[in-house]
Amino acid sequence: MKMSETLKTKIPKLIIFLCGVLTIADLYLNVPVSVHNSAITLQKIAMVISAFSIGLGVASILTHHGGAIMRRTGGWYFSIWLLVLFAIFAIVGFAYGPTSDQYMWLFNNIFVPVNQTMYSLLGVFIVYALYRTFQAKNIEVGVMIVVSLFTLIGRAPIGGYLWSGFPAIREWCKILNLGGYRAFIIVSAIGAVAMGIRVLLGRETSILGRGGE
Amino acid sequence: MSRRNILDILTDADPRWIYLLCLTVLSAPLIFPVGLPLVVGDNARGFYTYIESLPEGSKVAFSWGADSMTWMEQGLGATVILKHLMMNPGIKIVAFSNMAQGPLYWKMTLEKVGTYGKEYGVDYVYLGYLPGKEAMFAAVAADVWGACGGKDAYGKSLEDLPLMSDIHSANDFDLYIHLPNGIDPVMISIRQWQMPYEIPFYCIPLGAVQSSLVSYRKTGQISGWIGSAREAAEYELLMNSPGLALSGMDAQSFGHIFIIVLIIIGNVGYFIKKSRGIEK
Repeated sequence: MKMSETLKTKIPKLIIFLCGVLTIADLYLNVPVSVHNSAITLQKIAMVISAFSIGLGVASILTHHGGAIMRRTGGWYFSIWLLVLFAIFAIVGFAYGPTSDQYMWLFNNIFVPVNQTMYSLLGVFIVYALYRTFQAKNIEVGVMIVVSLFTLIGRAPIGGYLWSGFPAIREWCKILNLGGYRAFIIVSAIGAVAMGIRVLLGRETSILGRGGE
Repeated sequence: MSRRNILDILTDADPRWIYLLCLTVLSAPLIFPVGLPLVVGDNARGFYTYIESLPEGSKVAFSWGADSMTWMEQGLGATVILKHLMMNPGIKIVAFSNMAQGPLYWKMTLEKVGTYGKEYGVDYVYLGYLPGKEAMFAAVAADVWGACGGKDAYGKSLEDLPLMSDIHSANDFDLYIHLPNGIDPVMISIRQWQMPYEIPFYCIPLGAVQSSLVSYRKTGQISGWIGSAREAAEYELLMNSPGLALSGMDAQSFGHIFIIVLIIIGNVGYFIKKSRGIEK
């Protein structure tokens, strides 16, 4: 039981601490070449680990949709269609290469038009949502609507054509945004530093797959 | 038609009518262009001027983070910037992607733009998709060869590509351009490329992200950007090379006016209802 706890908690915490200290030291201190090279090696290891996440994504898709087909859950036939297309893209990609003419044909004639259709529809839905929800029910929403209108008209070429003041007002609205955003950046950076210290000291255990202490 | 019906139309119009109107308003200017004048702003002019001012032999690192979710908007800017780099004979380009779809969009865009006589391996190199997010950006900046395993996107050894003989880290580049699919990749580029190596950093962000970048330009961490279709169109105008972005500007103008009119109609209906006690 003690060994298990060591494997589960102490060793991962130690690895995190060493990786963190090495990376931070390389960034902020004038460290020896060997330490610098070790930090770069760590970054390359992180790249390799990230590559595994793609395989994990594939496994997740196959498991999820395979299970949906087996259980005949709602819309299971869409899962069949997804897996058929998945197989076509994967076979062509493996056989000819992901940037081959064959794969590019699939990409340009299936993926690109479907993708563009989906996001174009999203734009139209947003237009309708703006019409239904952008109602000045209080002062705050009213201010947001006014700023939105100036941004919309100032951003479009017709804004400057109608009145040169529209783009100028839109630019001025950025100042309002800048003040709030700076405060947000500073606060979130302080939070990130605090979080980083907690992780390095082993106080933050959520990254090990369990809740914080 | 009764007053009640007019109010209903103002506030609760059938979405299908809105969709139909939206389609009409956006497609009509594409079929019958009006040609509204477009004023070139500081962002597009600054980016354009900087690339034009690069001396012969300058090396540009291009982080090609093309993503299907954002390509509809960013593709216009990415295409025009790549075209400008390709058209300039003195500029050398080394590109890499932090998104899995990057290589596909790279090939698609390169076929569309053309290489203008640039030779692969001598004038430009593509390192392909490199996973790892922030660690990848840090690794490429510190050791380009090591981060991509000594090979380009097509499996060729970097030793066989003359351009790569002079390139080992971010210090060897004169300009860093990033096509980020959100705000986080911009922050990563600032942390891992601009700040440690003090390299001029331009990007092609989403329109919605632009306002968040203003404070970073004031500190010099971002030198400039072109975001959204509007600024891509301005860039096309500067290059005297009209393309997809410029042809869509009339549609954008009428689309924005349409949205404004809809918001106003929605609010007029809301306040009329409120004054009559129908809406609380």
